[in-house]
Amino acid sequence: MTIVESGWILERATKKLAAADVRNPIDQQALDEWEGRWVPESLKLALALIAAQSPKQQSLHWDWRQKLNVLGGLLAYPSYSLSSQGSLEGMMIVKLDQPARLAASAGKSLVYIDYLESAPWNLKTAVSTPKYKGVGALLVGVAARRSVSEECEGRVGLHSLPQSETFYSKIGMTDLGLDPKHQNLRYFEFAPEAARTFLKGGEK
Amino acid sequence: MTLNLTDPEMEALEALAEKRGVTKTAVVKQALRLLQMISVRTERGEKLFFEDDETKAKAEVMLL
Repeated sequence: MTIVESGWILERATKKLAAADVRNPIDQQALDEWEGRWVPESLKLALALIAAQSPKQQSLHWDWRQKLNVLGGLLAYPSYSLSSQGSLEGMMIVKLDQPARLAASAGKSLVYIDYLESAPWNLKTAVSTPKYKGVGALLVGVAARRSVSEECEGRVGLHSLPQSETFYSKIGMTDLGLDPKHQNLRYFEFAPEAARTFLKGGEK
Repeated sequence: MTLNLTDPEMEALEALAEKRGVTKTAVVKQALRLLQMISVRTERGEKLFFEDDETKAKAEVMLL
């Protein structure tokens, strides 16, 4: 397991930046922390959302251990964990060599974000006082930099969960509409120029 | 590591690199990732098929 990127996330309560490290691959320690901390918290949140008759947070049921059982060790599916101050705050699995959909990128490959999740206590759609901001952005940056290193010029694609659509638009990804072949989720893609802008620190 | 390729193999590699707009190294990496995934999934009992988009006819890709 290697630290592939170091960056900063914002602790909302103090408005201070916290150092964060992104490691590849997701290891047993991260999975144990997911199971021991994320899962119980996700269950509590899911029950609270049901009781409040709020929309379900779609990623709360993701089983990361099962995903890594299937995809772990495959070169085409690199995985990443993000930690800050000794706590697992985000995880991501990407899929390499996927076809870009933007017309200007026809015939080219991109890095597809297969799964990206921030710890349940960071989700503003699930908790009233989320802990950190910026976990998703840091992980998308990792995917974009991986895309550059794979000669895909920063092209990144993903299908967004509904609660994250605004975020992906805000960071400059192009909305290519709902995909009926993918649970009718909205597909977003970084064009190379937009990815460069994002990596340099600009948002729309 | 040095790759020993025949002339036709090198031509194929260069053609793929040009078509995909990447280096020959990138093509080799893509091929390795694909072969590993095929190997792992076939060992799990899955089969690999090509499907004709119009007729939906399937042809199994026979692998060693």
